Amino acid sequence: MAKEKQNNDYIFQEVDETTNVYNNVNQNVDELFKVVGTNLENVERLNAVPYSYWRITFTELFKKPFVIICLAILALIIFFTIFGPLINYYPPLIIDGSTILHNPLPDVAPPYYVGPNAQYWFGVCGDNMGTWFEGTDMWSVVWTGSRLSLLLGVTVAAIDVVLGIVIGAAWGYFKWLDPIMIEFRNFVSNIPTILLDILLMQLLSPYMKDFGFIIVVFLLCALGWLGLAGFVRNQIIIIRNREYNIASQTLGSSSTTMITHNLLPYLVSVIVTVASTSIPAAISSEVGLAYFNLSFKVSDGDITLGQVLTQATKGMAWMEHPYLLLGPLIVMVPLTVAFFYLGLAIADATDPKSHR
Amino acid sequence: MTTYLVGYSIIGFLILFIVFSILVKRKILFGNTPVMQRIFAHPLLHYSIRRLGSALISLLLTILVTFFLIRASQPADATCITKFSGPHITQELFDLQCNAWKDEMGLSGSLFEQMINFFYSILPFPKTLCRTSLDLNTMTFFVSDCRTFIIDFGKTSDLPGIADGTYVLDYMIPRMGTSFKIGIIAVVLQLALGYPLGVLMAKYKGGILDKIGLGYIISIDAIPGVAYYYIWMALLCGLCALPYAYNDGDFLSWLPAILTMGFTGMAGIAMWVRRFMVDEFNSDYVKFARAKGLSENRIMFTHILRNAIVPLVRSIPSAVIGALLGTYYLENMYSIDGIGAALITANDHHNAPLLQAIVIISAILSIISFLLGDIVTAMVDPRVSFSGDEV
Repeated sequence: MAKEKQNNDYIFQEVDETTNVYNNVNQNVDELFKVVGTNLENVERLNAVPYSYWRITFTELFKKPFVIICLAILALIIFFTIFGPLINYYPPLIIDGSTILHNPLPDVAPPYYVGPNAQYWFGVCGDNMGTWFEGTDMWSVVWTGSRLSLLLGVTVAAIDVVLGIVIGAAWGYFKWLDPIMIEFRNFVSNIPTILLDILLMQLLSPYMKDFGFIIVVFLLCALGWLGLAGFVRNQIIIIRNREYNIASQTLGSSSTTMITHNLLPYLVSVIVTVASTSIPAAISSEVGLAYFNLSFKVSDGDITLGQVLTQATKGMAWMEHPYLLLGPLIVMVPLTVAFFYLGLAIADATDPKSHR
Repeated sequence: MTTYLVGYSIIGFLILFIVFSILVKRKILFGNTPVMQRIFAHPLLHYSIRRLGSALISLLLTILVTFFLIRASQPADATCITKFSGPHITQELFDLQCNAWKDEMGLSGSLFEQMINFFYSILPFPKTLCRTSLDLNTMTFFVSDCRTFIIDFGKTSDLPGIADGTYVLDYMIPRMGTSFKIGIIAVVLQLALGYPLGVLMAKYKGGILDKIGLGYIISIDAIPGVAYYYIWMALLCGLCALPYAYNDGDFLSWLPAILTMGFTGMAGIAMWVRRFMVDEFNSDYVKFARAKGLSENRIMFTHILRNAIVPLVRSIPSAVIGALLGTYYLENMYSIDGIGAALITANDHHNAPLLQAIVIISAILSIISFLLGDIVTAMVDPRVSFSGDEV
C-alpha cells in the first residue's frame, strides 16, 4: 500500500510541476512577446537584436577578467616603451655618428653593482665580463630594448601570418603542391635551425650595420611561416571536401573564390589564434638568437630585450646580484604571457561555436 | 680487413633484402608462398622502404645546402688568416700550415672538387683513412693511426681539448653519449611527470589543478626559452645550491639540466594528454561504458587512457633519438660537453667537417625517428594500416 501511495504522490507532484510551468509561461508571455500592432510593415520586420559576429566576439572576450588584466599589462608595457625615455631615463649608449660608446653613469663607481633604489629603479648593470651595459641604468636599458623587440615582434608576426596563410591555403587546396611542400618541410626539419641561423648570420653579418632590422626579420621569418603554413594546410584538408565546398565547386567557383570565400572564413578563429601567439613567439625567438649573438649588435647601437638579457647575465655575476636577471624578466615575462593568453582568449571568442 | 668484410656484407645484405622484398611484393618471386608473402610483403616493411626512398631526396638536399652554406659563410682563406698569421710566421710557413689545414678540413681545391670528394667520403662503403700530421721540426708530413670507416666524416683539428687531426667520429661519439645520458633521464622524467599531470587535469577538468596546470603550460609556451632556463638556473643553482658546471662524475651536477628539460617538456606532454582525453570523453564507447555502470576510474584508465595515448606514442621515438643530439641552450649554459655544445664550438672554430657531420647525423636520426614513430603507432593502434596507396 505504501508503494501505491508513493506513486500517487509522484503523480500529483508531476501534475503540480506541469501546472507550475504553465503558470510561469503565462506570467512570462508579456515579457516574451510584444504587440506590434496590425501595421503590415511592422509585422514583417524582425524585432530581435540581429546576430553580429564581431559584437558577440567582443562581448565574449571582455567577459573574462584575465583578459582585462592582460590588456592592462600590455598597455602599461607599451606606455613605458613609448614614453620610457621621458621617465627617469639615463641613455645607455652614446651614439655619435657611426661611433657608439657605452655610457656609464657618472655618480656610480666600478664595479657598479648597485641594487634597485629610488634613483635607479632596476639597479645598475655591473661590469660582468665586459658587457656593453656596464655601469648603465637597467631601467633605461630595458625600456630601450623593449622598443625594438616589440617592433620586431609585430613585423615578424605580420610577415609570418601573411606568408603562412597564403602559402598554407595554396598548399592545402592544390593537391599537386602537397608532395613538393612536404618534401620541403622534411628538408628544413633535417637541418638544425640554430645552425641555419648561425650560417645565415655569418653570411649576412657584413651588412648588419646598414640592414640590421631587415636581416634579423629575415632570419626570424625564414622558417617561421612554415609552421603556420603547415597548420593552415591541415585545417584546409579537413574541410576541403565538405558538402558545401563540393557544391560550390560544382557550381563553378574559381580556386581563388573557393579559398577566400569558402575556406578561409571558416578558419578565422584558428588563424587568429596562431597570429596572436606569433607575436610573443617572435619576441622569444629573438631572445634565443641573442643568446648566441645572432641578433642585433649592441655595437651598432641596437638594443633588444634579448640583448639586455644576454648582456646582463653574462658571466655568473647575476647569481650574486639577482636584480640583473629580474630587470629584463619583469618586462619580458608579463609581455609574452599577456600576449599569449590574449591570443588564446581571442581564439575562444572568435570561435562561432562558442556564440549562443 | 675484417671491417671491409663486415662493411661490405652489411651493405650487400641490406640491398639484397630490399630488392628481394620488392620482388616478393610484386609477386615475381614466391608469388604463391603465403609465408614469404606474409614476411617480405608486409605493408609496414614496404611503407618503410618507400619512406626511406623519399627521405633520401631531402637528405641529399640537406647535405648539399649545408655544404655550400658553410663554404659561403666561412671562406677558408679568411679563416686561414685569422688562424695562422702572426708576427713571427713567414709566408712560406703560413702557406704550408694553411694548405695542410685546408686539406684536412676538405676545403682545398675548387668547390666542385670539394663536393666530389665530400660525396665520395660519405658514400657508405668501407675505406681506410690515415692521419697525416705536419712535423714542424723537419717540415715533413708523417702518417699514423690508419683506420677503416664505412662513412668517413673526415677529421677535425684546432678544437679545445682534442689533438689535431682527431677523427670526427671519435670526437662525436663520446659527446653523443654525454648528451644521451642527460637527455634520456630528462625524457623519462618528462613522461613520468607529464602523463599523470595530463590525466589528472582531464579528470578534474575545470578544477584548481587544471587551472594551475593550464597556467603553467601557457607560461612555458609564452616565456622565451632562454629566460625560462635562467629562471630555473636561479632556482636550482641559486636557491637549491646545485652545481652550475657540469661534471661527468658528479650526478648532482647533471640535475639542473635534467630538471630544466624535464619540467619544460612535461608541459607539452600534459597538454596533449589532457586534450586527447577530453576529446574522448564524449565518444560513444565512453557513454556505453558509463551506461553499463562502470566506475569513472575504470572508464578513465582502461578505456579513455588507452585511446588517448595512441597519438602520443608517435612522439616517443623522436624524443629518445633526439636525446642523442642534446640541447643547444642548456648544454652551453651548464657547459655540458654534448653535441649541442659541439655544434657551437665547431662553428666558432670554423670547423666544416664537424658541422657537416652533425648535420648529416641529425638528419639521418630525424628520418629514422619519424619512421619509427609511424611504425610504433601502427603497432599500438590496430586502426592504422599502411597497406593502401595513401601515405
